[in-house]
Amino acid sequence: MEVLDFNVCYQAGSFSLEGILKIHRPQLVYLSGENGSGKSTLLKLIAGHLHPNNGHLRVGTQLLLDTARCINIKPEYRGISWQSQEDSLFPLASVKKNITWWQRHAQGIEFAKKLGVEDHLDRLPSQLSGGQRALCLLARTLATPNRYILLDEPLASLDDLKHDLALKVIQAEAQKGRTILMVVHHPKRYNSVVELPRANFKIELG
Amino acid sequence: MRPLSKLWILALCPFVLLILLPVLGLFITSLPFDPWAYINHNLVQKALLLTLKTSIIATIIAWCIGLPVAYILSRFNFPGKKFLEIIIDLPTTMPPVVIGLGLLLVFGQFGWLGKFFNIFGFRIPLTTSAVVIALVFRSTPLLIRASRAGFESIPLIYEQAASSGGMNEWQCFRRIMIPMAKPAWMAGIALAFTLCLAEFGATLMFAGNVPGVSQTLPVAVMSAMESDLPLAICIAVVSMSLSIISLTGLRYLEQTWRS
Repeated sequence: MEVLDFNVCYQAGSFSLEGILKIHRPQLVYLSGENGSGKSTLLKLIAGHLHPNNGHLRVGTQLLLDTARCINIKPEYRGISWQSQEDSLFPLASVKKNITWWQRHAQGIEFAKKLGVEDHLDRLPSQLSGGQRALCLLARTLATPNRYILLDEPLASLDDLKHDLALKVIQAEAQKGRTILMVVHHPKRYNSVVELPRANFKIELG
Repeated sequence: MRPLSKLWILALCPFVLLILLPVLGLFITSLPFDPWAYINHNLVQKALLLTLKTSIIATIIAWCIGLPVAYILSRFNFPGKKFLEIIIDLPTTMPPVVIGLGLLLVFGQFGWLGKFFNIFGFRIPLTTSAVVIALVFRSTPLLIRASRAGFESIPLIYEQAASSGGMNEWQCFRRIMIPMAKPAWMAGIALAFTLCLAEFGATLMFAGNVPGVSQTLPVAVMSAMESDLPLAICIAVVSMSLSIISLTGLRYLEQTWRS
């Protein structure tokens, strides 16, 4: 059985996204495609922040979405962590509170150390640089207990050194059995990138 | 921002004079000003305490009722939303006396709810609860309008991030949205509270004019006007000072929280 089985038809105004995504074993998937091809939309559809016109989503043994049977599990019960392209650190909470807010204190601190932001724990997000915020956000997403992670260009604002560090941490998480879908902007920097075509996509990963 | 030119200062004058003249008039006629003599007056003291008490309780209730409504209006689409928006504007556009009459017809001794309360021995009109109900009715819309603008200005992304991390809608509202919209609903509280201090029509109609029970400062002014003009002026000065102090105080708090 697949770890992720997604079949979607989504239309909003003149934009449409249609296709099938199947992932057979836990792994890190780099997702690329030209601007406006629907990468972010695809992640939002899986996370449950957008509702498709037609489709079904199965994650492991759980059916999360089936429009034919009127099943649509809310994002908070999907067990899927999703990180947006925009900075979504809660501005009023310290970095530490942001990272450990799912009541997973140890994991949060651990990821902050791995990503090299443990010195900024007591600061507010507004006191950090763009790159530091991106790392904190990544630490917050990875510290969740979920086995499915969706990352929308998490490394876009990082310098080369931090980029490689963060990528290693993400790869290590995938090795531990998490399924990670990551949208990337410069496909040449990664191995085996999946291209999301404009028209009907059909992606199957062994 | 640029410095104000002479022409615009001239344009400002009519408005400022219009507002300041009655205020100055009151203060000047009340001279020599001795606030303690006023506040020690039994009637003034009772009215002042009652006004403060009912306004604080009414503002708290308005906050509890109004905040979820403001959030719902800012985030959801549902049938009847337009209707709800009209209802919200009603209490600020209806004459307060009419509101008081409406409340009296519902909660009065022979009103629909009044009859029901009567069975248990509760009587609402002419009590302090009646003052609070009238104040809540009048002030909640102001709080809703101010808070709604605050909620609308918060990007959707924070709620999405919270729900993707396992927070349900209520937790998200309580832990993310309320703190983030704090400057907005603080401004709403300032508006609602100062309206409560000044409310007259609905209070008089529904709660009456019983010293110590339902005679708030504005009602006391009118009551004193009939027999004792100097007393009316002194109550008016106390009432006005209270409004000015609370408005500046709350605005100051709001500013410090905003920065």
